[in-house]
Amino acid sequence: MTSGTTRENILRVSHRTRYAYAEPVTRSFHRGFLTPRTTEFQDVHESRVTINPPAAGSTTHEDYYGNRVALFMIDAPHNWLSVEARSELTIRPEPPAFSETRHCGWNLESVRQRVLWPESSEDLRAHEFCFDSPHVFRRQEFAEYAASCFAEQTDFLTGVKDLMHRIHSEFLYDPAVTTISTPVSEVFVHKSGVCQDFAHLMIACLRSAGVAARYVSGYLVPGPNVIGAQASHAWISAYCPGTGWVDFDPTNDVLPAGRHITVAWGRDFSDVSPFRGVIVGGGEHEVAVEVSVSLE
Amino acid sequence: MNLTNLSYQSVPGHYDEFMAPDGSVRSHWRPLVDVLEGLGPDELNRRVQDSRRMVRDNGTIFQFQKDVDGHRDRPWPLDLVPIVIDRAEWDFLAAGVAQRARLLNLILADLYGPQTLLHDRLLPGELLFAHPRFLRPCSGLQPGNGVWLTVYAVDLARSENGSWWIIGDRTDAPTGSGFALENRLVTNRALSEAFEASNIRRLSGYFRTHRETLARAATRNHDNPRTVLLSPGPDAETYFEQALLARYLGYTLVEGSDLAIRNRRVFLKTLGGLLPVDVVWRLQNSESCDSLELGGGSAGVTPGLLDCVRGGQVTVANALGSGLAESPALMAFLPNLARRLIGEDLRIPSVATWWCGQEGQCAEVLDRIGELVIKPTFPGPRRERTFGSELGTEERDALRDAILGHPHAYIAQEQIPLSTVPVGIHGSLSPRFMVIRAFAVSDGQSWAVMPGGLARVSPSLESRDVTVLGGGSSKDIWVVGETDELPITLLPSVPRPIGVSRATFDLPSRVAENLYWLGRYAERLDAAARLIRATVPLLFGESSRSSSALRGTLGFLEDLGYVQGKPDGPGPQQLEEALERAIGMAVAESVRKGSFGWQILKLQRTAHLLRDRLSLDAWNIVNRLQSDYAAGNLLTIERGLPELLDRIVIALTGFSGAVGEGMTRGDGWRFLDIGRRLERALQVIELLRRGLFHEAEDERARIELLLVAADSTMTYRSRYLTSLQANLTIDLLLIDDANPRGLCFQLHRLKEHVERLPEVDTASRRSAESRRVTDAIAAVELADLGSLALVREGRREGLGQLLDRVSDDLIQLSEHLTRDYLTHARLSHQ
Repeated sequence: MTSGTTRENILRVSHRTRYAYAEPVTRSFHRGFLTPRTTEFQDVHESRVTINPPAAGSTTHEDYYGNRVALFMIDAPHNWLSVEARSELTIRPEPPAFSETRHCGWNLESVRQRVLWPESSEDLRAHEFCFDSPHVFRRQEFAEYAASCFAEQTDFLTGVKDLMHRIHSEFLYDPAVTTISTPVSEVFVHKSGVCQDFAHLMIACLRSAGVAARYVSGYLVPGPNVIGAQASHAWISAYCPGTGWVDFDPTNDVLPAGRHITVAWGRDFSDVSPFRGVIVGGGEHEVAVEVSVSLE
Repeated sequence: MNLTNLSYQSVPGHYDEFMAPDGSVRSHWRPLVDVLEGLGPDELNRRVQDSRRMVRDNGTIFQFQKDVDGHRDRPWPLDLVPIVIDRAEWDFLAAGVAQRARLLNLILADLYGPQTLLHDRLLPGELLFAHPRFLRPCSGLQPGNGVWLTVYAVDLARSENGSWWIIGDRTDAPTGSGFALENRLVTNRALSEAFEASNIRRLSGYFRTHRETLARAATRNHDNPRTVLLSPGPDAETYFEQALLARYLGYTLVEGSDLAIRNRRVFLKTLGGLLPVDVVWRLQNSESCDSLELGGGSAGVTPGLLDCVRGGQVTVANALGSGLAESPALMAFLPNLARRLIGEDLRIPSVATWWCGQEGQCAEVLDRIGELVIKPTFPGPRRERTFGSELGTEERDALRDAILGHPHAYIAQEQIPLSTVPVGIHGSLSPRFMVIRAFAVSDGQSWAVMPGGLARVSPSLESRDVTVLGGGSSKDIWVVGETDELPITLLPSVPRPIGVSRATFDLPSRVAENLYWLGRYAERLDAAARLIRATVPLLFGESSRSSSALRGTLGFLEDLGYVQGKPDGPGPQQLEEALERAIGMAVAESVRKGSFGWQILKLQRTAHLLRDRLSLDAWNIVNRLQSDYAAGNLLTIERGLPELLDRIVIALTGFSGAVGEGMTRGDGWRFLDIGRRLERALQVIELLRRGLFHEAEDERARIELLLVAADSTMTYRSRYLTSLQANLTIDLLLIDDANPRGLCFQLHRLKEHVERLPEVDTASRRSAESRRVTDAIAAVELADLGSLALVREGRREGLGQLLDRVSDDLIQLSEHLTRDYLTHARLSHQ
């Protein structure tokens, strides 16, 4: 073990996906975001993806946003597919840049102006996350929903935190209500959903208010009162000039610090869905996902 | 005839390409006009008819959206009178088009790369980041040939003062160059005197550059790269031009399902196995090219193609993602981008364009909305647009509100008063609005512009819509002037109208499968038509037929599934009526699976799928068959129906000839003939089983019908010189290997075919296909005629058993063929 990292700090993540097909799949092609990326707050020591039946071709590359993508193909008839990704990483003990006592010195309008008229290359990269994306559309109603959290003098990051809290308290966590294709506008009406819906909704509110927000996909270290540790988790990141990107988890109403493992980010789920594929044949299928995170 | 004074008047407020403001013909049109005047109105009219026939005979079609019945093909609209453009003017246009191709190529390379244009604020980020055609997975990739825009097309229009404007860019999968080629081929032939008199620049040099460029684009296998033309398939509007371009340039025309991806390499699925592909020229949009990474679409659309590009194993042209540069909003920023990227001003300006996402611009648009064309910032596939001038007050206000609500979503463009050109109508000339589409292809260093292109004209002076969908027509463009080019042609000097133009080992399995089914459908329809036709003389015989003959015939038809309902009574009159009804129904019925009309439809659909493989004659025969049949619905047995059946049988004979005799004896032809032989064998089996397995009351009527349906009456009479007998019929149709309509004959042909197919399984000496045919032949040849004809308890058990065994062999054969050659299931085991 190298100095500075003790065994106790190391997180082990196992992410298993198993598909069972009603009829044989002749051939299949898959794309996965299964390997945590190295960020300001996390170091990835090792990652391994095991595919069964064995893949005929497997490649990885870095995508447009800097995430690790795995592409692979299975070229023999199969009735099931199992993919297991194992990683070892360390999360820095110090909390992220923002804390409740710290004010960023920007209000919503000044952030909006800066994102609209980028000055630095970081601003410009954030600019990309201001617009509609396949799952997130800007709407007047979302802008109005967000507005109550941003009084004129409210510090921007405090406002975002209030918005997170508002969503957490007004929306019910209920896995039975939505699917991957449920639009945000419907989630907004039903006032219920899962982590992905809350993340999309919060992004929609921020973008409708004119600022930049992105979708973060990852895992949670389990603990008391933690929702979403049994599967892939999703939260958001908002851009504040000067400070940079700050994460917010509307599902758990927390500022991620020490328990959130970042795998990938993008405009919304469609950019970073953990696992998607194109299959030839197969008929109906069932999928089982199992995520476990342990601290040694 | 004096075209100038009598028949043509220019339109005030519009530049006229043909006539100068003083009413004289522009000088570069003079040679053409001299020829047209020399022809006179009648001859010109005849040439127009000629050109229409040529377009029809070439099968040049433009397909509209599918309606409920299937497809809607319309002849490609071509107006014979070309547009004449002076060489000096064309050189100006060509330089402008080449400059723009170079610029857009650099813009794509920047936006998919370092995005310096955004950092330097030459382009608002929103126009990239919010653009649905900005395909992020394509970012950071280097096109195999280093060029994003291998092929580029652009729409040009001329305003009233004579200046040219660019009104649209096509950067993803530009269409139209094939139609330009077709227009040239037809116009050149129909107006050959004028073509020779006018010193016109040839198109072939452009296509040669195209071919050389794509050949050089391969990242591997440089000496002999395999290039395929990737098409969305026969349902695409422009499928005809894709087939023409593939034939003209010598590429294999493929659909996504013809390609297989293994280990980051692209292969073509052929009968002989997988052949590596080095260059894909795609004529489908980027989004449809990889269902895994580029979204949308089904498994048929080559998932994994983008990763092959990423791995550097294949070149796709145009580079995936190039559709980004089609955005009309880009035009508002192009002058600055040109100065930055190439240090030049635009030689040909874009039509004035405002992006409403910029505050000052939005106000101006709202102010002038009545004179502008409004389009979405990010156009959909149909390229929607609204002419402000065509809106009422309420509609205009609604549009203003929409723009104010989402200003970023709209752009506005100046409406250019299009120039006019003469079109030939009833032997005289009338003005119509026109837009020309020019084409450029990269030669590695710069862009070569086609000296000509596709001109499109409006259907009337009331409409500015020059699209074919909007009812417009098209023209050839003649660039005239001094030239030192030598004529080059890419087409073989002797027309090669028929069949597979490429080496047969390149035959995609899909094509083999369609040929196989084409053979089967044609034969099945032939059998049905002959059978129905054979019953007609019973109703018109000179000697009145016996009731038992009519009953026998009706019974046979009933056994074959052609009769529904019983005759009203036992008398000859009622039986004749029942037979007439049966014949009428058999022909008229078109919906039920297996019915007559259904079979014609199947034949036509399958031929449609093979459109690029069939000779024009064969294609015309199928189309005529379909229209004859459709028009024949009201025919009766007294009037027209027998003739219709005759025509169908003759057409099918002609079709077999046109297809069978015209094709090279390669694997394509082999699969077609396997289909025919297999189906004919199954039809004979069916006739014998239904006709002779049960001993019937009047067997003579059945035998006679059977022989006519199997086209073996003449053979029977010449061979046996005797009355009709069951055992001799069985001998002739089943055992006699010299009767080309008989079962044994078909089995021998099938054996020859399957033994020449590419080997599948080298482990066994005989393929499964060969074993099946050999078994069937042995069964037939070892059969004893006496026991086949023997009737016991009203049945010919021996015959029944033999027919069962042979038909089982044939069905197995069909399944083996499908599995081993057509679906490529075996490849997934490798």
